[in-house]
Amino acid sequence: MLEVTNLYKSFRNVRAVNGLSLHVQSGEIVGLLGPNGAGKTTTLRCICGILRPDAGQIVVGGFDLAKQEQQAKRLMAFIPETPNPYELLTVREHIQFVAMCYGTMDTFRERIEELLHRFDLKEKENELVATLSKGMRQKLAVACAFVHNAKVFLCDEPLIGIDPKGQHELKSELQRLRDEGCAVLVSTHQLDTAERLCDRVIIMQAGRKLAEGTLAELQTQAQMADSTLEQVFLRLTEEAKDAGAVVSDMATSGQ
Amino acid sequence: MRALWFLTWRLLVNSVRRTLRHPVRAVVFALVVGWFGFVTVGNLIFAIGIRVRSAPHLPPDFTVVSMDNLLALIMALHLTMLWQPLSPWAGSTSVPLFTQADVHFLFPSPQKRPTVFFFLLFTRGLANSLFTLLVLVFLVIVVGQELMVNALMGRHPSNVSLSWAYPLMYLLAFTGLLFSGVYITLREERREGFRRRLSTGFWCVIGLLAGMLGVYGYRAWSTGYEPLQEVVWHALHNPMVAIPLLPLRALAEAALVFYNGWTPYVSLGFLVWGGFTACTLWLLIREEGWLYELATRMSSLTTAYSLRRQSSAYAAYQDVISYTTSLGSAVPRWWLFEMWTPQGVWALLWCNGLLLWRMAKGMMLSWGLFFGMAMLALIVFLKRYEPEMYPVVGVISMYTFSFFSLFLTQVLLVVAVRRAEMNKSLPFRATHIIWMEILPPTLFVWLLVTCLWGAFCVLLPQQWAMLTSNYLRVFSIVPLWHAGMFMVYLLVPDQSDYTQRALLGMLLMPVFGLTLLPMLAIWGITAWLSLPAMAGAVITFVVNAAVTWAVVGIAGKRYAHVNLAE
Repeated sequence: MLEVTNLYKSFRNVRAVNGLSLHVQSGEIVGLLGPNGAGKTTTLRCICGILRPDAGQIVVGGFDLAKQEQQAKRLMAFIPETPNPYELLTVREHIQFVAMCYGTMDTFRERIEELLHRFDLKEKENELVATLSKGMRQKLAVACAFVHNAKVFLCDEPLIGIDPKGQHELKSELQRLRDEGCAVLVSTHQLDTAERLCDRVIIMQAGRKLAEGTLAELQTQAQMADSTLEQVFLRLTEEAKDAGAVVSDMATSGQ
Repeated sequence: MRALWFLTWRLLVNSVRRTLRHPVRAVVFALVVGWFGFVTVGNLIFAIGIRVRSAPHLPPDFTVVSMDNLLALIMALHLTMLWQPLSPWAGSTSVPLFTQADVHFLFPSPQKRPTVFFFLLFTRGLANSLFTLLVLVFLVIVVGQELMVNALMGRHPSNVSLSWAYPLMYLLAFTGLLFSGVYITLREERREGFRRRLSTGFWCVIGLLAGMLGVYGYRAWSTGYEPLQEVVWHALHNPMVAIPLLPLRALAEAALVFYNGWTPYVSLGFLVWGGFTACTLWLLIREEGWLYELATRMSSLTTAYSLRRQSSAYAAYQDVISYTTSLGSAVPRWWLFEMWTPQGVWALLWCNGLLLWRMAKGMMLSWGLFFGMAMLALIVFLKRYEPEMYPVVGVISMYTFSFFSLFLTQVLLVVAVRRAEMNKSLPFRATHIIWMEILPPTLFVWLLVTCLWGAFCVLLPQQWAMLTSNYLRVFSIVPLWHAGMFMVYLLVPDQSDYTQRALLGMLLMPVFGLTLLPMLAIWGITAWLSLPAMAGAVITFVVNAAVTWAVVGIAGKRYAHVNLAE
C-alpha cells in the first residue's frame, strides 16, 4: 500500500534522510523508531507531500506521489506531532474544513456525530480551537484524520499529550484500522507501545535505516534473545553510534 | 478552492465574534468603529455641503511646484508602505503568511499546490496591508474634503472614470513585491547569503540616490536656494534619479489621476509593475514543487518567533541565543549585562534589557544613526533661521523624536504581553512586572531625548531653562506613553487575530491623545495663571508620574487576568 524507495532529503548541508526504503502493507502497523534527529518526521513529511524529496520514489496505493499527487494524497491521512489547528475555527468547523479539502462532505455528514463522540469532542464542538487544551487539540487532529476514507495513516508521535483513556482509544483505533485493511506507519518514542502495537518496526539513525523487522528478527540481529524492544533499540543505536564515531575518527586521521 | 474560501470566511467571522464576546473588547470595538464611521460619514456629508454652497475649486496658489511636492510626498508614502509585502525578504517573521495549521492540515490534503499557495499568500498578504491602506483612505476623507470634492464632482468630472487606475496599480505593485519577497526567501533557503548580497546591492542603489539628492540639496542651500524644493525637482525631473524612482512616480501619478488625467507615467507604471508581477509569478510557478516546503519553512520561522514571544523571560533569553547561533551569527554581548547581575524583580529588568539589546540591536543602531544624521541636519537648518527660532526647534525635535521612537519600542511591548502567561507565575506583583517590562524601552527613549537635550543645551546655553522645562515634560510623558500602550496591548493581546490587530491600530492614536491631556491642561492653567515655565514643567512631571503610576496599577489588575486564548 505504501512503498518508499531510496528516499533522500537534505536541508542545506544537513542530510536528514539518506537513501531510506520502506514499505507498509495493507493490514499492517509499522513503527518508525529512532533517536531525536534520526529523520522520522522528515520521512513522514516527505511521504505526505509537505516536503519535496531530493531523490527517491513514493508510491501510495499504486499512485506515484510525484506524478499523481492528488490521487495519492486522497488515500493518506496525516496526524502531526503536536498539531497546531486553526485556532479561530470551531471544532466542528475544523473537521468540516478538512472534509472539504478532501472533497468528502457526504462522509462528514454521516460521521461527524460519531467522531465528536468517539474523541470526546462533542461538548466542545462549537468552541473555538484556541480554547482547547493540548490533549484536546491532539484528539481533534486524530478526528480530522478519520473524516475521509484514508487507506494509509501516517502518525507522527500521535500519543503525545493525550490522556491515558485517549491513548488507549487511539491505540484501539489504529488496531481497528489494521483489521480493516489500512496501512499504518507510526513514528514514536514509546517503545513499549511500539512493541505491543506494531507488527514490524524500522529503526532509523542519522537518516538511514538501521534495522527492520519483527521483534524476534531484531532480537536475532542484536543477538539479544528474550530482550525487550527498548533493550534491542538501545543496543543497535549505540553500536551504530560507536561505529559512526570510529569511521569519523578514521576519516579525520586519514586512514 | 471552496475549502479555502470557507476557511478564510470562517476565520474572519469568528475573529469578529470572539471580539464581540469579550465585554470590554466589545465596548471598545463599538466605540472605535462608531467613531471612525461617524467621522467618515460626517466628513463626506460636509464635503457634499461644500459642493452645494460654492463651486469647488483648487486653491488659487496651487501651482506646478505644489503638484511636484504632492507627487514627492505620495512617492515617499509609498516607499514606506511597500516594504510590508517584502517582509518575507526582509526576514520579518511577524507577518503570518503561512501557519503551522496550514502545514498540518492543508498541505497534506489533495488540494492543488499552486492554488493553495497563491491563495494563502495573496489573501493574507493583502489583509496585512489593507489596514494601512484603509488608514490612508480615512485620512484623505478627514483631511482632504475639498480636494475630494474637486476630484469627484468639480474640476475634472471625466477623470472620475479613471478611478480604477490607482487601486489596480497598487494591487499589481503589492502582488509583485510580495511574490518577489517570497522568491528571494526561496533562493535564500537554497543558497545562504543570497538575501544579504541582494540587500547590499539594494541599499547601495538607495544610498547612491540619496547621496545624489543630498549633493543637489547641499548645492542649492550653499547658493541660497531652497534645498528641499531642489531635491524634489531632481527626484522628479532629473533622469539619473527619476528613472530608478519611476515605479514610485507611476504610483503617485495614478493616485493623482483625478487631477492630472492619464499621464504617460500611468501607462509606464502599468507596464513596469505588470511586467514585474508577471515575472515574479513565473519564477514562483517554475518552482511549484518547492512551494509547500518554502511555506513550511516560513511558518516554522513564524512559530519560532511566536514561541520566543510567549516563553518566559529566561527561556526567551535562551531561545534568542540558540536562534542567533543557529543563524550563524555571534551572540551579541555587552559588558553592562556581564557586570550587572541584579536579584529579585530587578532580574526581570536585566533580562528584558538584555533581550531588548539582542533582539532590537539592529533597529536601535539604525534609529541611532538616523537620529545622529537628523541632529546634523537640524544644526545646519538652524543656521538659516533667526536666533529666536533656535530653542523652538530644539523643543519640537525633543517631542517628535520621543514620539517617533515609540514606533520602534511598541514592538517590544507586544513581546512583553506575550510573556504574561509565564511571568504571572513569578513571585512578583503584577505592577512590578509591568514596570520592569516598560522600563527598558523607556530607558532607550530617555537616552535619546537626553542626548538631544544635552546637545541643544551646549548649542544654546542661554536657553537652558526653556529646554530643561520641556525636557522634563518629555521625560515624564515617555513612561506614560509606554504604560498606555501596554494597557492597549493587554486589551488586545493576540496579534495573530485580525480584528484584534485592527483594533490595536485604531486604539493607539486615541490613547496617545489621552495621555497628552494632563500635560496640555497644566500648560493651559500655568499660562492662564502666568506661572513660570519651570514651575509648570515640575507640576507636569509630578502629575504625569502619578498618572503613569495609576495606569500601571490598572494594567496590573488586568495583567493578572490576561489570557491570549479568550
